[in-house]
Amino acid sequence: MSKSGRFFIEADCLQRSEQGQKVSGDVCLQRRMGDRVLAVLSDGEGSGVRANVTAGVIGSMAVNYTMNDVPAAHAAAAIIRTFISEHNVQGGHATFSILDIRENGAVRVVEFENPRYIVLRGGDEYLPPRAAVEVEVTPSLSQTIYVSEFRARPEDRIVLLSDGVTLSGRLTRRLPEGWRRGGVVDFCLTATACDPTLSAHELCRRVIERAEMNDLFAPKNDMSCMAVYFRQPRRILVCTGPPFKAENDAVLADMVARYEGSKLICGGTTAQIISRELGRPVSVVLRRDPAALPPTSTMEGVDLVTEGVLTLSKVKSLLARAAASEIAERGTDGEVARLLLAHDVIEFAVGTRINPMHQDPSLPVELELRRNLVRDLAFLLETKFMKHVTIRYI
Amino acid sequence: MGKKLTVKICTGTLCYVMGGADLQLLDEQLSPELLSRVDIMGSPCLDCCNHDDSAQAPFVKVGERVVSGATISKVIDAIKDELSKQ
Ligand code: FES
Repeated sequence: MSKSGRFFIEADCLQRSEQGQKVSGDVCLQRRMGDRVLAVLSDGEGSGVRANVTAGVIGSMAVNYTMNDVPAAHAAAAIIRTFISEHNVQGGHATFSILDIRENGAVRVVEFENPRYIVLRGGDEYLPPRAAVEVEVTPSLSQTIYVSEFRARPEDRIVLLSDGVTLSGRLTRRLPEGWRRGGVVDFCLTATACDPTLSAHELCRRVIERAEMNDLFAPKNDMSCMAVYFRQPRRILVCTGPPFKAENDAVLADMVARYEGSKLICGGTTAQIISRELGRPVSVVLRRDPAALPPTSTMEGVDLVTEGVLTLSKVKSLLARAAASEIAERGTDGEVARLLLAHDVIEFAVGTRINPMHQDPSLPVELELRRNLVRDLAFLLETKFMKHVTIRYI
Repeated sequence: MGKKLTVKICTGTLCYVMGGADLQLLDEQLSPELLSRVDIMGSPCLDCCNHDDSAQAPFVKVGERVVSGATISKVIDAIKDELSKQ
């Protein structure tokens, strides 16, 4: 649990669109606000751009209503009224699930016609009681939403699916009725039994890959899987930059020595300072980096040592353009990005001493200021990748 | 033959952007004879860039001697020179 005695909530999602469609008609949205995580999975009517737009609007309505503490049934009713009328109620129409989670473990789920959400607890499926609530769309038409509330326990996982996943494989010889919800539950239980600390990210990946395989690698529907994992936070300390005052060199080194979690050093001078203070040699691995960045080094007790501003700047642009948390780049920028994304809590220790030479206008490349770089990186990690980020200047 | 001569190539930010990137290929440029007499290593920062003197990055340390504005040929000259003193 995190410092405050709460959970860390890892949330991730993965999507594939129906074969032949460029965009998915499902939308997954996640927002972290203070002690609260909101996740919405909406499935627009049909597929393609039109469905994507519908699902996107549903997603943002759901997020905004929930953020503003509009009671769940009211919010759901407003969304349903916007998208459902007598003439489209028969056929397929927009559906959604809203997850509203507090860091103390209180969970509320509102569902409208998506496959029922899954809770994995202690090696079994846990089925929280659900209340059916009738929502009046027009005087002659009402719809049923389901509302449930429960307390999450450490190591619980919640999985949301679009019907593209549960229907995957339908009409194939192996799964004539599709994978079905029960099939997904069994699959998730086996996956988490084999790997008890399986991340939400990895669980989504496995579910979607299996669903694609069920459809013989030509998805017949948009597929989305969203997973939430209540876990012990994984922490990483990122040291970059020499301390402003030399007497703080020892403070920085001490932070590295005592830190419980992973450690990353970005900066040559920084690495030398820590190496000198802790008496741990640092050795450079001379090799060509695919991203043309300076080589990395190794130091005992530290996961990775890299150069500073050039590397961080490439990591920043990589994270800015990454469409999802899957990073394939093989260079040092990819390596650093993957290391950061594998953690929940990212703590920057930023030394603010500036090397005046870095500001020399005659340098062949412009070097960004470390503080700005770290600030931008922190913003990306917080807003796009839902990390807890702290920055300490020394 | 005495012990090997240590050659430390700086791979820090300043040296790297000032041309140090190419110095990493030093081992490919040395004759087998010279290669057998040196130990080529990298350094995260030789700390020369933190002192505001007129010397220019990139820096390479050949034994105890600092080569500034280093190029492959400057470094090779320095290696030959240092070896001749041994
Ligand atoms: S970067 Fe080369 S001496 Fe510091």
